[in-house]
Amino acid sequence: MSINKYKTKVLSGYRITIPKEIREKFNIKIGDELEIVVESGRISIPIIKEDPVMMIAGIAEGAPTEIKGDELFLEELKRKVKSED
Amino acid sequence: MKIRFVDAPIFIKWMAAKKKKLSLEAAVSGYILTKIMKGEKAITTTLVKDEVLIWLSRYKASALPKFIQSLKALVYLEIVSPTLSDQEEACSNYGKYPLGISDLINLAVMRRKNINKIYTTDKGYSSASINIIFHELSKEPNFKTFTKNLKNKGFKPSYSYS
Repeated sequence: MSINKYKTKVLSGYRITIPKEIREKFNIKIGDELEIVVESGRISIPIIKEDPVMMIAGIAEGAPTEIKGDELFLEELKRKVKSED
Repeated sequence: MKIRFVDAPIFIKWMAAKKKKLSLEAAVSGYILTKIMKGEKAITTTLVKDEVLIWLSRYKASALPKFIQSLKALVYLEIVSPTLSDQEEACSNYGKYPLGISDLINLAVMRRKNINKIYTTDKGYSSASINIIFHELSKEPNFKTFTKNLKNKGFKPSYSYS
């Protein structure tokens, strides 16, 4: 894993500028919300462009939920066996 | 806090959530996943992941990449592969509890990992001395905040939370 270091200056209002190379590499746009993680004396900004929980909220809205895992596997198997006939 | 197991209904109920009539079960499921996103360490199996994948492929196959993307971003959720020994134990427990074979395999993984708490709505696990954590989460103060955030995002809860 390669580690690259960049310098940035703290401006008035404690604002910092994300270097151009990083902005382009991670497609960071004005208005994006970034998370600052503080861990053991260091801060980092993991690139999470979208909330991973909200991104799947209701993506199969209204689909039946009362189905057991075994039934799902059995249905897959039935389909497979049938297609091999 | 000891690590908890995440069962398939948690993902399924959240993905099947109705925006205009959000059920308490769907909201609690989303709340559990949010806790994990924010740093609560949890565990699930490749079996659970595949159950959810099969379910999603059946009802909304176009959403499969998003589900995988979401799983990859949930860095505090460890996805464990059951071993042949887990499956052997599951077979020996078949019929002992009101659980299907896939749940029994998950149970064997939980026992191997010394986990006795599960996020699920499947009551069958309680007969195997596994504590089900689900409905009580709606009493947590953070659940209220979570619901408010959902309301701000356009969800209409069908339950009262104030």
